[in-house]
Amino acid sequence: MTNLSLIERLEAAKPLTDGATPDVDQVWTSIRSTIFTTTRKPSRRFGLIGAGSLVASGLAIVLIVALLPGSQPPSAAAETLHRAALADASSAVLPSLGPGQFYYQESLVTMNCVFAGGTSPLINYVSEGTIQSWTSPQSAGQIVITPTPIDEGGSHFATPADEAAWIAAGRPFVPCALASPSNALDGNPANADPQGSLGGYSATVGGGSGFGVILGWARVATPAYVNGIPSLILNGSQGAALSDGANVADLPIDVSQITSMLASGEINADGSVSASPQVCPVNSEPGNGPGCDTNQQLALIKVLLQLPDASAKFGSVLYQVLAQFPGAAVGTNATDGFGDIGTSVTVPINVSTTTTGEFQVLINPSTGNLLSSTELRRSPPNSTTGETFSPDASISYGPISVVSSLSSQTGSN
Amino acid sequence: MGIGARSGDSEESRRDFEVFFRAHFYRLTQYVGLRAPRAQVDDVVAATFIVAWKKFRSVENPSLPWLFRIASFEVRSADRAARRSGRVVTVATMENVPIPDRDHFDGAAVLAALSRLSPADQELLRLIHWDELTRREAAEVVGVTVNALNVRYHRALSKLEQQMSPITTASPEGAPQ
Repeated sequence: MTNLSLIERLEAAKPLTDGATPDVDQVWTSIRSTIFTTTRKPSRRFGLIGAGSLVASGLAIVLIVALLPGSQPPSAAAETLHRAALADASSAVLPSLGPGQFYYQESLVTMNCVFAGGTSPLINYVSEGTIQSWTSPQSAGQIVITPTPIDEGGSHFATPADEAAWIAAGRPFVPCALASPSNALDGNPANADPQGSLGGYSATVGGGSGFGVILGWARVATPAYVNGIPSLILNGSQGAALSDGANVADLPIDVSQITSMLASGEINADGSVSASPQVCPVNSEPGNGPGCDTNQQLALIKVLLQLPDASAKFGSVLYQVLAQFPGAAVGTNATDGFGDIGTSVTVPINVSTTTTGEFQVLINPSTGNLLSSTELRRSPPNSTTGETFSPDASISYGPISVVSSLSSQTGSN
Repeated sequence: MGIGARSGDSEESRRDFEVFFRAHFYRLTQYVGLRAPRAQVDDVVAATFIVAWKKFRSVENPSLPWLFRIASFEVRSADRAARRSGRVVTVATMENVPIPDRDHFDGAAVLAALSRLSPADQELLRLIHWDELTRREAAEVVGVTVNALNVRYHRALSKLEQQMSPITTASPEGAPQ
């Protein structure tokens, strides 16, 4: 107990709002259209739901009540997260979907591509972009990946030497630049192996077991223009997470139950549930018996977190699930792609057979809201002293809303 | 006509309401955010402004406390709806989860003590110390005189202090101060 007065402690216990404030203009537009232009007075229930949905489009569905530096003792981080995870349980329930409706989420993504250009050394490229996702238990969903063009909007080669190597190699296809017109896959003479799984000489994509897996779908995705920007659209048949019936509605919120189901392989990559233990749905090897090991469980969590309803549902229990993984630790405050501050929880992982790292989730300590998920690569590899961690892949979760069609947020060129 | 729109609604009243909306939107959002589950906040904020528009021209001085008072009813209404649907996590549920003794968290202790007060006492303390309303404004929200509010406020504070004390935690609420 501190020496603060009762009133000081009461005021210090107040959750403080952070910078993720809603756009008042956008919300006003929604409110105005509801109260001024409706031609027939709807029922109160309709009015509430309709207006709420309208407001949700402008108001972050996550009303973030954040812990600001200094408002609570740092030593209380674990308890704060514990409390936050419980607090977020009330937000685990998303609005029910009507016929033809989808959960929609637009998130910010960072991916680290490592690829080769001819005889040049491996080239590192960091891609920034957005991922829009539509999911529904009733029908097939969709993911739209819209990276920023090469060297624009935050996307960049990791170092000037990487860019120089790329130019020297004849500008081969950059996997994480996807459908950028300046980044040709077919017909580009610099691509000696255009039939590679990711095109060109590509070797790996950061977060390959999680976020990066979506780039594995790039070969079968449909290039398209979304609001005039080259993008890739992945449809229901191009990923388990997008298939008809993909949802997490049947997953329990209870921590011990989820932990048990993860370990026994009963949770599939699309969020559906198996009735009995099975071979791990992700990263399984021939001859594996039922169940998922720690790395497979983490990989599965990362895949599930690409689903908007999963990010909401798991947000309430994720800290407690991860806390049971070997080496889990509460880290320092960090900022996600939207600028929101959260407390990090990290779990050691194997990034590759030769490189270790950490899987980090950023949680709003006051609400338990899941802000972001990041895969960090240790540099130098497997160092135990003086090492640094750089993001290999990261998703900052945007607000979730309910929309009435797959194409409502997209446009043609 | 829109929801709550009446004959005689003028452009001027709409402009006035927009000014009112912009002046109080963030404070209202914060107010609701401290009292409603995250998933309900946007609905409650929207419902509050819809009700406010219905009454806007009939009140002499639409104010932030007046808006908070409307919101308080909407929060309760949303809470009732959530309870009917079984989707609410109550404070009591959260308290059932043991918090380790190590790294004692003062804020959690305050919140736990606060939750043991009556809803009316909790609301009084939140209005003054979290929403930063003056006593007069808080009285308007609660619907009592300033003098009555002052009396209730000091009693609520005493009860909170009592709940914070390990020795008297078990004392029944409302015991003589």
